[in-house]
Amino acid sequence: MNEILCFNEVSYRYDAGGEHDALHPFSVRLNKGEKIAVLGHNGAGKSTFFLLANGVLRPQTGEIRLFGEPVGGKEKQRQKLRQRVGLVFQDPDVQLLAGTVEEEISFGPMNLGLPREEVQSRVQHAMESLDLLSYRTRGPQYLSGGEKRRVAIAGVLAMEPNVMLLDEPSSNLDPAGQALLNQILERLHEKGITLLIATHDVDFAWQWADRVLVFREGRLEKDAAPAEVFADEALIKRCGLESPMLWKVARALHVPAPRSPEGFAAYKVEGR
Amino acid sequence: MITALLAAVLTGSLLAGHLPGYGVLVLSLFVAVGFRLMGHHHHDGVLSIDGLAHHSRLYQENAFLKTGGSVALLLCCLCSPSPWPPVCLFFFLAAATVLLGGIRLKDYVSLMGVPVVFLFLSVLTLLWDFAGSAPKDAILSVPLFGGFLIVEPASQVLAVQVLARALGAVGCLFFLSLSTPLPDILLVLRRIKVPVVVIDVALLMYRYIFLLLRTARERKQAAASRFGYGSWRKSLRTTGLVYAGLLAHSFRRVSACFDAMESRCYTGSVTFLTETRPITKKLIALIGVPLGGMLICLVLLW
Repeated sequence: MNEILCFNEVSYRYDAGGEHDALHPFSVRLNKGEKIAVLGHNGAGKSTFFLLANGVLRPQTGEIRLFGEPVGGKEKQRQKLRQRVGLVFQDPDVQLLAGTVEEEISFGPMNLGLPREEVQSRVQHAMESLDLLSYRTRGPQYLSGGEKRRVAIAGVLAMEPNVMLLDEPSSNLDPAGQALLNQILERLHEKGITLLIATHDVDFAWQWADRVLVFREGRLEKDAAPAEVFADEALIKRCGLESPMLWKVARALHVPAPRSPEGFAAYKVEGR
Repeated sequence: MITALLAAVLTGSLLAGHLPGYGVLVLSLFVAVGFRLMGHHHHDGVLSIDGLAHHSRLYQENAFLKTGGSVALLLCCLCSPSPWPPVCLFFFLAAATVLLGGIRLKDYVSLMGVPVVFLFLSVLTLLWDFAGSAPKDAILSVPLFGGFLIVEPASQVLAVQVLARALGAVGCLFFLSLSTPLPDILLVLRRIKVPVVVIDVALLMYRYIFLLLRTARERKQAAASRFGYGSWRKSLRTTGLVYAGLLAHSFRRVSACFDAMESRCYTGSVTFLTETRPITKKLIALIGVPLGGMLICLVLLW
């Protein structure tokens, strides 16, 4: 496995926050091309985990390694971490800055100090990947929620990260927006980008992810394949999660849960 | 209604002495009715200007020329010794904004409402003077508190001059702001070496004012849906709560926004990839014709 990012006994505690928001020491490795769902109730530590992985927050103990090299406190190293590990915030309005979509997407690459032609080609590429070409000169503040989110993802994609962290990307999306998002995630996966998605949607996690991280009260409770996580009913209950709909149906039918609804078709139906 | 009243009083005071009394009265009434009919519907002020600019057909034109041209025209306007060139310029630019830019006439007239009220008020104060005794050459004099409110011919000339220049200037500014969104104008300022800090701050304010206003509106609606504005006392209290909440919300928001900037490798200056749009013949003509006309007028009149 190609390891990209490694957390080694990393912990974090907010100055003002109580136990609630803190992250207790945990270790995790992220490899190339993985599709990871990050589950856990609100305040379980998902967002803090993302901010640490992206280098906005500094771990209080432990060490983060990027491509095997430790990321220290130096600004330059943290900039490198931010470049390699992109973070898409839950609320796109927090992220959007510029007067046009094109300028907005160029913000990250420009900060990397790349030559103009390189920035242009990256922006172009990111807009193509997210079907944003016709929005080039539109003002981000006049876009809909789903469009804003695509611009926010494009802005991070243009920095060409190896890992992308998406904080609840499907919140506030209509079904069409959700379908488009799924397509986009597939495209990002095909580019070989490691994807981490914080979500409350267990159905999505079951169908999409090939690995699940479960956080509970600032602790990493479980890091395993989806089938193992959802089979552990005690864990599901303890962490305030729910079984995916496909699991509930499969359990009622006394069959193993398939990855997609179509999977049920493969089962032999016994006649009356 | 206020605009219509102001317009009537203004017309009356400006024309008094130049037309017979009934003529002045009829014309004033006519102007008042005209302004009343034009009406002016509700809009979000500055922000609707920005939205309209984004949809203008002149939006894609070179921002540098638009800004430079508008400023040059504005200066010509202010230097004009006669009221006619600025008035002509106003109509030319208004026509350009509406016909070429594709801004609806209704929107243009409605936006004019704001500066026009200010303009009429200030011109009225220029026109009317207070004196202890009415001078012989006063055209209008109204006794008041032992003195007289008077209109003199000299102040009429001055008022017409100011009115014309201000109208022309508003035309220039509307031409610019209804075809050029603020970020484009800021880009021009960046080119002419205005300090980066000023531009960055302006840019971020521009961006976040949309969020702030939207949040404020949502909070007000939420309060209204719970009868927060039921009585005068209640609405006073609710308004306080809404704005206090808004302040706290803004502080939380600022740190989230800063995190988001940092996460994209922000190191202290906000830079974007910007494209300089080509200068078209249409725009050169659009700026060149009135500018040439204004300059010729200035040379002939001075």
